[in-house]
Amino acid sequence: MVHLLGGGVVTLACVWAGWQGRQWYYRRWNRLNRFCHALARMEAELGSWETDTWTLMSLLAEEDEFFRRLCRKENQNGEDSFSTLWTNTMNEMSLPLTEEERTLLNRTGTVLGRYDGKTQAFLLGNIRVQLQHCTETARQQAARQGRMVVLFSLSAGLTLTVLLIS
Amino acid sequence: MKRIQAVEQAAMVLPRELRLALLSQEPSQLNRCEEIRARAGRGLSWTDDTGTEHPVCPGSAPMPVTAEDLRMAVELAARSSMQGVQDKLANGFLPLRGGHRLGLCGTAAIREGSILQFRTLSSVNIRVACPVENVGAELLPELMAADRFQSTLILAPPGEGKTTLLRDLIRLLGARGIRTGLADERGEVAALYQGVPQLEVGTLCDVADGCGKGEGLLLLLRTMNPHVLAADEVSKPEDVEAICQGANCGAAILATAHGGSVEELGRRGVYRPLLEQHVFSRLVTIHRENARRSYEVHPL
Repeated sequence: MVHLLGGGVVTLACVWAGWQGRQWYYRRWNRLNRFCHALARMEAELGSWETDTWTLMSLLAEEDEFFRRLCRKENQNGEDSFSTLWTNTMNEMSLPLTEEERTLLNRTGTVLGRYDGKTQAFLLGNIRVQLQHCTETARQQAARQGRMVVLFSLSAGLTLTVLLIS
Repeated sequence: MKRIQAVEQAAMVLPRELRLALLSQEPSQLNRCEEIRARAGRGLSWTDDTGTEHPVCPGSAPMPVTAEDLRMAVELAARSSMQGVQDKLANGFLPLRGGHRLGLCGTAAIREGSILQFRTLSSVNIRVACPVENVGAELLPELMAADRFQSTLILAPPGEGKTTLLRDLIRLLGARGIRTGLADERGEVAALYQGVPQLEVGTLCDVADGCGKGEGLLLLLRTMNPHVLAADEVSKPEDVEAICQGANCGAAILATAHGGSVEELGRRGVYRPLLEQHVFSRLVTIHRENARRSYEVHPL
């Protein structure tokens, strides 16, 4: 009976770990999706109104924690360059992203506020296209690998349970 | 605001190390600071109220300044929004919060014959704005006739206090119920920040900035029905044309120009229409002795 209960606990723990792994893929997909939306809004604001960078960031902060933190950082430490503040916020938030996606997003920090509105909108558009590709990859990985991770952890849990009982 | 606070506010656009080095100067010195200058490869300095420049030397050597420091100063001054300051960069200055101004100098990038922006910066100059109130109080009665403000030109060489006097006269006119339309092309007089004047121009002043003086004056004339049209540093033919037009529409004019005397002004072709059409009936000249300024009113 104790072995059976122990096996159940081990299986549940493995499934939980697998579920967390699956969630990481979905969080990444969700995060990339949010950045894509934010970039589209930046493009529109800069292309149409040449909106001031920090006004734009505070607009985005209403919807997204990343931009809220970025604005807070600017309030606390306004003497750093925009790209430094952006990179620091990216590093601090431990976002569920791959190195390639981080590099791509860090480029956004170097583009924003550096050129005239139209050039920024154009460069952000390029980054957004690449980010959309990453988002699509993340969606496929979330569906396929997320399922595989859960199945693998479930079978690992069951194997351990069988070993424990026998 | 005391001058020392104004210096602290203006220095916010300097990178941290430069700012700390500047603010480590004696408070009595900072209280006399009118300009802060940084030159790449040379150093940081400040200019006092007599026009003398003092190097900032935190140790024994002058505080080093790099081109990157100057670029950073521009980014901080623009609040990371170059998209909103391209036109100002082309003119060589950026208005700062509090009414201060960052002047730029370096290798210009030219497009279609005019400065587009700077490829590299060699020096920046922060002019610290510290409004002095009531400098025009004694002067104003001489500029009035039968409760009407008489068109006045303030004439002085650069750095003598033309803008300060202009701003104070606008404020004093507002206190007398006279509505002024101010074309603040360089944002030095009212220094609008998100629509609110950062420097005291009174309650009856409408400000047009972000456009040329000529366009601003005509806009004010069309939309704000001013009793007085005001503009700082009239220097272009289109400014002169707009002033003449404003004067013919019944508004009194209050303007400043670089120069030492009416004769000197008359020798510069651009101002000739103003004198020929008798746009101004008063001329104010400013004289400075050390840190003291005196004003003289001449009928025209």
